[in-house]
Amino acid sequence: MPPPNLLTPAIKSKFHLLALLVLFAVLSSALFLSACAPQSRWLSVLFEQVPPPGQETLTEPVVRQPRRPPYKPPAPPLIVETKEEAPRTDWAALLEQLPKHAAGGTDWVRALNEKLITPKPGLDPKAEDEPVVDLDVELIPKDQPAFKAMFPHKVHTQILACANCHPAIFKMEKGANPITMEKIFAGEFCGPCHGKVAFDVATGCPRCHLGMPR
Amino acid sequence: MMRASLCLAFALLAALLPLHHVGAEVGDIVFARKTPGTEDIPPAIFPHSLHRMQFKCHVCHDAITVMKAGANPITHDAIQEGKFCGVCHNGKTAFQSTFEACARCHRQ
Repeated sequence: MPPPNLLTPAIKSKFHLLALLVLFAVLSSALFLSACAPQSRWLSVLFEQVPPPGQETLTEPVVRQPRRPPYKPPAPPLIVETKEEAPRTDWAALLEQLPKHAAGGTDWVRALNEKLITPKPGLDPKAEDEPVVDLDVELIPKDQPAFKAMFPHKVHTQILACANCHPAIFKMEKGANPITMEKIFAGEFCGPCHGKVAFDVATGCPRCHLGMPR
Repeated sequence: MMRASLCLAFALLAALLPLHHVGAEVGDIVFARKTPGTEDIPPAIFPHSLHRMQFKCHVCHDAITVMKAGANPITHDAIQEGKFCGVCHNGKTAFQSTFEACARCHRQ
């Protein structure tokens, strides 16, 4: 005969109730005891901000870092900007288009007068040009008046400053410059430019000696 | 025969093409190389005409360069310091003296 089951459901529920009551009583008494104790290591975790008895409360607010970092907009995609070079001017090709004189070289006087070129008077964009002097000087050889030459100040002062020639190359005094063709060919007087940068003396006779056939 | 003459014509054309720009105009100055050991570098050529198209004579003469052969001791150091060519060729007014631009002055 099996032993009679003493733990009937009614008794079981009563046991449970009793166990809960005992647990509650133990926990609450533990809380009471620890709350009355001067300092509790375990409960200080729950009451972190509470100062120990006898001390004043903290006046300084506790600054805490935000739980998540503030929103930052994503960085724009990295675009490498390439500087485009200004289109290079083909000066050599432009030079080819300038008018030519009889000997084949560039006719700079015509190019300037026809405004095919507009050379700047200085590096500074506001640079002012020296005034153009419109003075023709006639140079008549004493023994050969037929070889009269004419020097036009105008075309020279359009591109040159007075100080380029005066007084180092040409003295500003009538008859003070004994110009001869030999000296010009040797690089004196007109020679520093004519034959080097300006039209060649050997092929440009009628440009100075106006009486000669063109 | 036809092929040979064509080849010859092309070779002549190729040989003559560089002459088209170099020393074609009166006034181009060729700076003969003086530094020993630098004969491999082509001499610098100053194209007077191309500069005449843009600036009047008195812009450079005689404030920047003297009108006398050999009177301007032009060196690359001087150019980098902003003297002679460096007055304009500084990357602002005109192209700068860089390793990409060698052949613009030092032409064969």
